[in-house]
Parts: sequence; C-alpha cells; structure tokens
Amino acid sequence: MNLLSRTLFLLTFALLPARTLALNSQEARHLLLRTGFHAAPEDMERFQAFSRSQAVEYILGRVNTKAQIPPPDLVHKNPPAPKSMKGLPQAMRKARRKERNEEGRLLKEWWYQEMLHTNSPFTERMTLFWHNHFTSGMRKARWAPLMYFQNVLLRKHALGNFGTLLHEIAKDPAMVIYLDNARNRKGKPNENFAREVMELFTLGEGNYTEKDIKEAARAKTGWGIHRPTAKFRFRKRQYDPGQKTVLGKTGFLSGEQVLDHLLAQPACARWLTQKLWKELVSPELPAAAEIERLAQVLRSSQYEIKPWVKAVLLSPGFWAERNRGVRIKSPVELMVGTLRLLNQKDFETRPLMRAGKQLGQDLFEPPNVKGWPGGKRWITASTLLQRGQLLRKFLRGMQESPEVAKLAKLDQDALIQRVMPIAPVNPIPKRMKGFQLLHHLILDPAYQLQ
Amino acid sequence: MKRRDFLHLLGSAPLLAGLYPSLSWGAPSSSQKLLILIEFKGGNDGLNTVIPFQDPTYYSLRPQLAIPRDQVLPLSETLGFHPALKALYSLFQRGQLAVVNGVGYPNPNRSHFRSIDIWETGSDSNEYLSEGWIAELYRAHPLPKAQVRVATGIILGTNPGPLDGDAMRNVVMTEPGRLVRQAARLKRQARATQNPSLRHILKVRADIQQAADEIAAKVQPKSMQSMDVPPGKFGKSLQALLKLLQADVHAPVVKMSLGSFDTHAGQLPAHRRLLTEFSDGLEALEKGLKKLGLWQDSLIMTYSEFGRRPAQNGSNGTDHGTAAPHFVMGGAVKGGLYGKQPSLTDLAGGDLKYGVHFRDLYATIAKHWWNGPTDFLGAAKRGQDLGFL
Repeated sequence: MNLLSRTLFLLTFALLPARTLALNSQEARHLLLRTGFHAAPEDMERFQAFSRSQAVEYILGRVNTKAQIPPPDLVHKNPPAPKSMKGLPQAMRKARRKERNEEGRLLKEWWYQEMLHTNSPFTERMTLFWHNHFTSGMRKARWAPLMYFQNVLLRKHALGNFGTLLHEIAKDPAMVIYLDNARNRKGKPNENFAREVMELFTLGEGNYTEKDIKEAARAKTGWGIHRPTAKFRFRKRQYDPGQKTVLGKTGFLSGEQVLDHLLAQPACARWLTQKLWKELVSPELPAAAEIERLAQVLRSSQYEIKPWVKAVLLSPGFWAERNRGVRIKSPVELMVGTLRLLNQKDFETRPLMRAGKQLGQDLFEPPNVKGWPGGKRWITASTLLQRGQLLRKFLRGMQESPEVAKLAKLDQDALIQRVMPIAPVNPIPKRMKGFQLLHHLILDPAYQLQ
Repeated sequence: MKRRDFLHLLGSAPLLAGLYPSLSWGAPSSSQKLLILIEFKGGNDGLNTVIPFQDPTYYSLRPQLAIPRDQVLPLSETLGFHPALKALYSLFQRGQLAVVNGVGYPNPNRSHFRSIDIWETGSDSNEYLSEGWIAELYRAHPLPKAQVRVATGIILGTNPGPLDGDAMRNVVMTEPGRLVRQAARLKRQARATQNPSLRHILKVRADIQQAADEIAAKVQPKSMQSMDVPPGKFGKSLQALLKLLQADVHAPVVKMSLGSFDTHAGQLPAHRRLLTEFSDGLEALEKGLKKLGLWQDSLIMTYSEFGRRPAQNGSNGTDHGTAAPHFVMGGAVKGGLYGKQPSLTDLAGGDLKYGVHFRDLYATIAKHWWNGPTDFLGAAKRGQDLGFL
C-alpha cells in the first residue's frame, strides 16, 4: 500500500465512530465486569469481534425474565394464618420462628445459586439493582415466599418497563407490608408509603413537598393486603374519593393515577438515571447535561429500560479510561464473581450466604429503606480484612480443583488479563506463576474493584 | 481551661509536642481522655435494673418478674439496683456513677435494627442518617493530629455503630494479637492513583497497617501486668482494652458490647447473668484503669436500642419497650441520680414515657469531655447539659 492509500485508510479508520470499531481486550473485560460478575473467556473472545454497540446488544439480547434455578418448595406453601403465633406456647413459637428463619436462608441460597449458574449475569445484576432500589426486607415481610414473589417480579421487569414495574411493585405484598413499618409514623401508613415512593422510588429528595405526600397518601387509601391470602386487595370503603392535588395536578386522583403523575415528572427519569450511573459507570456523577440526555432516553421510550440501559452503556463516560475499575465490588459481586472466575458454580451456598451477611450484604435484608449505600461503604477496617480472609478461604479449598489448575496454567500476562479489572497494585515477582500468582492477584487490592 | 486541667497539663509536659494553636477539642491533657461506649445489645430491661421498689404498680405489673424488695440495693428512698449490680452500687456510693433515668426519644421505634440505628446516628425517629454520632462530632471538630494516636476509635467487636463514618480511621478487632496477624498478610505498597475507589481501599489498608504496627510494637505480652477479667466475651473485650491501654495504644473512643438483653422469655436468670457479667466486668475495668492511672481520664457510658415494657408478658419475660436508665461512670463523673424515673401509671400505649433525650447524654459528653459543641448534630438537635460532668 503506498503512503497515500495508507493515509486514506487510516483516516477513514480514525473517522469511524468508536462504537463501530471492534472492542479490544480491556474494553471487552470492562464491559463484561460491569454487566456481569466476571469476564468469561468465551465472552472475551466473542466480544473482541463485536463493536461496542454489538456487544451491548448481545448482552441485552440474552437477558432472562425468569430465573433458571427452580425455587425451594417453601414458596408453594400457603400463607400462615394472620396472628397465628399469638396464644401459642413458647416452645411452639420458638419452633415456628426457627422454621421461618430457615425458610429465609433457603431463599437466599436459591438466589446465590441462580447468580452462580445463570447464563445472563446481567439479569441478576439488574435484579440486584432493583432490589436495592425498591427495598423490602424479609424480616418485616415475615414470610419468605413474599420476598420470593417480589424477586420474581423484579426479575420479570428488570429490563422491561419501569412504569409497569413501579405499578406492580407498589402493590407487591412484601413491599406494602415493609413500607407500612418502614418509618414509624403512628397511624399514618399511607404517608409512609407515599414518602418512600416519592423520595426513594421515583423523584428523589427535594422534588416534592410534605403536602404532596399527604395528598398522595389520600390517593393510596384502600390499598392493603388481604392477610389470609397474602395478596393485594383494594378496599373501597377505606378509599378517600375526594379531590386531591399532587405536584400541581388536581383531580379525583386514584393511587394508580398518582403513580402515573410521578412518572410524568422530569425529576423521575433524572433520579433513576443518577442511580443507574452509579451502578454501571462510576460513583461520581457526570455533568448534569449528560444525566439529562440519558434521562431523556428513558422518558422518550415511555420508560422502557433496555434503550435507557443501552444509552448508559454506550455513553462516553462508560468507556472513558478514567472510569475503569472505579467501582468497588459489592460482597455479592466479589463472591459470585470469584467463584465464577474459578469455575466453582456448585460451591456451597450456605457459607456464601453467611459470608455475604458478614461483609455487609445480607440478601433480602437491606439495612433500611434506603438500601445498601454501597461504594466506599463496602470497604471498612473490618470488611477489608474479612474480604481477604474469605478469598483466602476460597482459594485454600480449591488448590486441587482441575478448573483452577487450568486457569493457573496461563502465563503471567494472560492470567492478569483474566483476573484483574485494572493493573494490580502489588508488584509481581518476575518469575511468579501458577497457583501462587493466581493467589497473589486475587488478594491484590485492585481485585476488589470492577 | 479548668484548674485541674492546667495542673494535669504541667504534669504531662513530656508528652506534649508543643501547644496546639486551635484547640477545638479542649486542652492537651485531653489527649488522654478516653470514652468507653458499652452497648447493651437487644434492649436492656431498665425497670428491673434501676428498680422503683416503693411503687406498688411495679409489683402489680410484674407478679413473677419483680425483684423482691429486700434484695434491692437502695440508691435513694425510691430507687434501687438489681442485686447483681454490686460493683456499680459501690461506684454509686463513692459518687462516681451517674444513673440517668428515663432515657429515650420521641416516637420510639421498637425494631432492634431501626432503634439502634437511631441511637447510634443520633437521628430523629423518622429520618435516616448515615454516620454515627461520634463520627459526626469528629467531622465537625477534628482532633489535632497528635491527639489521635493510633486511630479515631477502637472497636472491640465488629460493628462500629456510633463510630461509623467516612472521616473515621477506626481499628476493628476482637483481640490485638489477632489483628496484628491478619494485618501482617496485607502487603505494603503505596500507590498514587486518580481512582477514588482504589485510593479509599489503599487508605483503609494503610490505616489497618499503621494501627497494627503500633500495636505490634507496643503490646509486649511478656512484659505486661496481668489484669483480672471475668470469663466470657465481655471479659475478653475488657482484657483486650486493658492490654492496649497498658501498651499505651490509645484512641479517644472505644466501643464494645454485651448481650443479648433481648429477654422475651424466662427473663429472671438470663438478666441476672447479664447484669452480673456487666458488674464484674466494670469492677475489673475500674481496677485496671486505676492501675494504669487512667481512671480520672476515663468515661464509660452505656446505651441500648430501647428498654422493655413495664408489664411482664406471658412467657415470664418482657417485650420491646421504650425509655430506660443508662449509666455514665468514671473518675471525673459527678455521681448521683439524674432525670426522673418514668411513671408506671402514666404510660403511652403501655410503654414508659421518656424524660431525657439520649442526645443530651451525647451533648454533655461532647461539651465537658472534649470542649465540643452541643449542637454537633445540627441546631435542631442541640442537646442539654445534664450536669454529670
């Protein structure tokens, strides 16, 4: 090729938008880590033949709406009769409590199993995201199956439509029960609900007034749970049919209409976008204009989640070098990611569940209605040591594993590529290889990032 | 500066690097000041701890649970201690224990998780704050560097509670030797980085190492005096603390816990056991601190998520309640009874009405222990000086 044609070729190449160029290995790994639990070699290979756009489409294309692992039997049980514990002798109450605790554990284990085996890690990442957004806790729900059904709902709509998700979660029994008790305002359960829906689920603080909450609470009257069946029920007698004014809209507003009105507020898509940015891109928010641009994608698609997620994953901020490895892995991401990396999908889930709790992320039990704060809060003087101990424990038990041995056969560069989100912090002795190197990398501080 | 602080200042001259220009946290001698927070996990039954033994309602509400009048250790004509609190009784008689009655807050929450969160963050019952009250105090009024020594706080356990916060450099351990061993596994690699998350991880790592280094250098088991402590987890925490203090490993705040006080059933033997453990522990702690010459500069404060309901339940226990008494003790404390004992007839939904807001405890300590402000949680949350210091 002569100089002119070479220059023309390079020029054309340079002018092509980045999203149509094939991903390099760092980019492939970055995308896989942010949308999953680890960068599997098959995906790495596949993605290096894709452009950014194609890779993101691929991830969104293989999303599931149902879990693949069947749930534990307990989810098929009938709900306990209301106040069924009252009047029972102490021994029986203790036994029932023990049974319920065990049911909770089994449910948590089920979700870990799903995360370990799923062919769509992004489905689980988004289900976790919505679990932390639409917070409910198992303890308050008092009956594990309710949290299961909520989890099913979250997964069904995780990459579906946010409007639909909002309407359905607002009537989800676990959510209704949880919010009734979330903030102790005596005799004002509807206000609690209205507050959380505005502050946490849709608009974010500062975008509504106390009056709006009170009025929205009136619209929500009549919403409740029929305890014997543990299902949502609208009680017309309790409904306040009068005129209400919420966020500037006056009318005989029903609870559903209030939700629609919240969705119509510009602040809603903005608030959601900020949260998604922190989940997928960086703990630091971009310029307001960028948030607005991405929020607009959500609005213009009538709250369809896929186009919005796609826009975030294709945003310049997502691919910027300065945003590589800036997220701290949550306990679940750390554990599931490591086990998937080491090909240990059948790892015992009970110790996993315990470890998750110890590290600060007890599934189905967010600390309060605001959810897990995440980010830097995952790493404290206590949890940093515990994470290290846990990883060491994992590795110690896997030295004889053939999958791990296979991984350990990779040369230094290849292993670093496979394991690390960014360059390791601790220096690597030149001759270090095999299991020793794998150990060294997994215990490196940079491994805690994605 | 108070006279006794000035004299203390003279006495501790060799420890001073110089006089600190901006003393937001009191005189240099306060570099020795130690606050020990003891959490009663699960909600302590205050009514059987500080007992209104002359009140007939007490006996009618608790036919099986009331402590017999003749067993009560009298603090006044109307209030007395559970018999297991022997060491605290002695402290009270020597004027170094303040019993603050009826401590609680408005719109009380009866969930363990929520209520302890409220106590530890100093929040109102309908808001969520993310940092502990000690962290807030530090953030508003940071200690001059030399006073911080090892860390901003030592947590003997796992849960930082009131010490949880971004600005805090806490050391978390069950036992110093164990921390040193765990920290030894961390590599030492400084790295400048633009990545804020990585920076955070490396900072936490460095903090742990710094604390562990100091502990490893100073804690020499062979050269240490043995300190008697009662058996059990609480005793072990006290032993760890005394070991650290003996080795001059210091932090202004230490947190430990004891429990579980969540006595829903069969309360009498369990509660007696816990109060005995607490009393024996305090006795050992007082002894140890005096041996180390730290009693005058030590302040011990208890707290708990709530008290328990005045009426006993159907399982010879008590359920989650509201207000309860708490203890503040140490060499500098003005002992006595503070706050009114809540009425047993003027109840709110069967629960005791609080008289002293827990934030007043915090404000009193902030003001007199560290010369800090009483509104460090915000103007609307300003606490009252209760006068026990």
